[in-house]
Amino acid sequence: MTGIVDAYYLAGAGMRAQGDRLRVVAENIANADSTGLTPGSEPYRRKTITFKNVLDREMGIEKVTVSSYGVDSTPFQKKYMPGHPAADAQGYVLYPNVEPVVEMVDMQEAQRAYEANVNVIDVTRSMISQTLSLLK
Amino acid sequence: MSAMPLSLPDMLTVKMSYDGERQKVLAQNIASMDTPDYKAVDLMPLDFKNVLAAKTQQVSMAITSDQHMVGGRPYTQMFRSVVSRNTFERTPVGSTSVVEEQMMKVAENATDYTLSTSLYKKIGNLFKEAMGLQPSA
Repeated sequence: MTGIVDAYYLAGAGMRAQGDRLRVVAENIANADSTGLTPGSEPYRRKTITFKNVLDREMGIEKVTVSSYGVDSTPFQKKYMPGHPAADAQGYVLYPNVEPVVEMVDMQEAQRAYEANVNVIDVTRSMISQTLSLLK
Repeated sequence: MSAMPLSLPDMLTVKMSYDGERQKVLAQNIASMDTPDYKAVDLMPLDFKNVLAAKTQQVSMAITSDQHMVGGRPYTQMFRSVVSRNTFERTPVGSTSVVEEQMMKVAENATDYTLSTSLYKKIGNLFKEAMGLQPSA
């Protein structure tokens, strides 16, 4: 019985990790237009997230957690906006390297992964309720 | 203790523990599908010979006082988990846990579990019937 209950915690850890991933996506989309304020200053740089598995010694299970938050090192976009406070001498402003399409796809993926974990919890719960119905 | 080394309810109990343990392993695979270089695992198929051997050749510690408890090996230690070969694919992050494949296994496992619990219930109802009680649905 312990094995099957551990499945809840494993799926829960997965949901949490995917939730964090969704948060990073939200942060990227929200900052898609965050430029610098002075000429030459850097705009918002796209953030990334990596997962890893760590052993939960107390429960003896390998849970998924966030390994690190990183930054995307791809070059910034350049837009011609001479009136902008952050425009350089040629009138170009650096814009964040956030690609809305990429973020949307990432968001969908995180959502589906989250759903898969919810599904596991559903199945596990029905298995446990079957066991309990043996008592009837 | 019945004359048989392993009765049907006993076997079903082993099967149910196996399915429970497998559910845990599959949950871990699904939770880890975006972990870089994660290797999907699965339990070795349940083998009647090994189960019987583990049940009949069980060695436990000697009891020197009435207040001691017998320390047996839990069922779950009989199930070995191995890294799955021949998975559907390796995902771009390098994990071999493919969600479709794992969900398929989860569904299969849940069906197996339903089979075991239904059989268990049937056996219980047989006893109830013999005692002249109303069998449960």
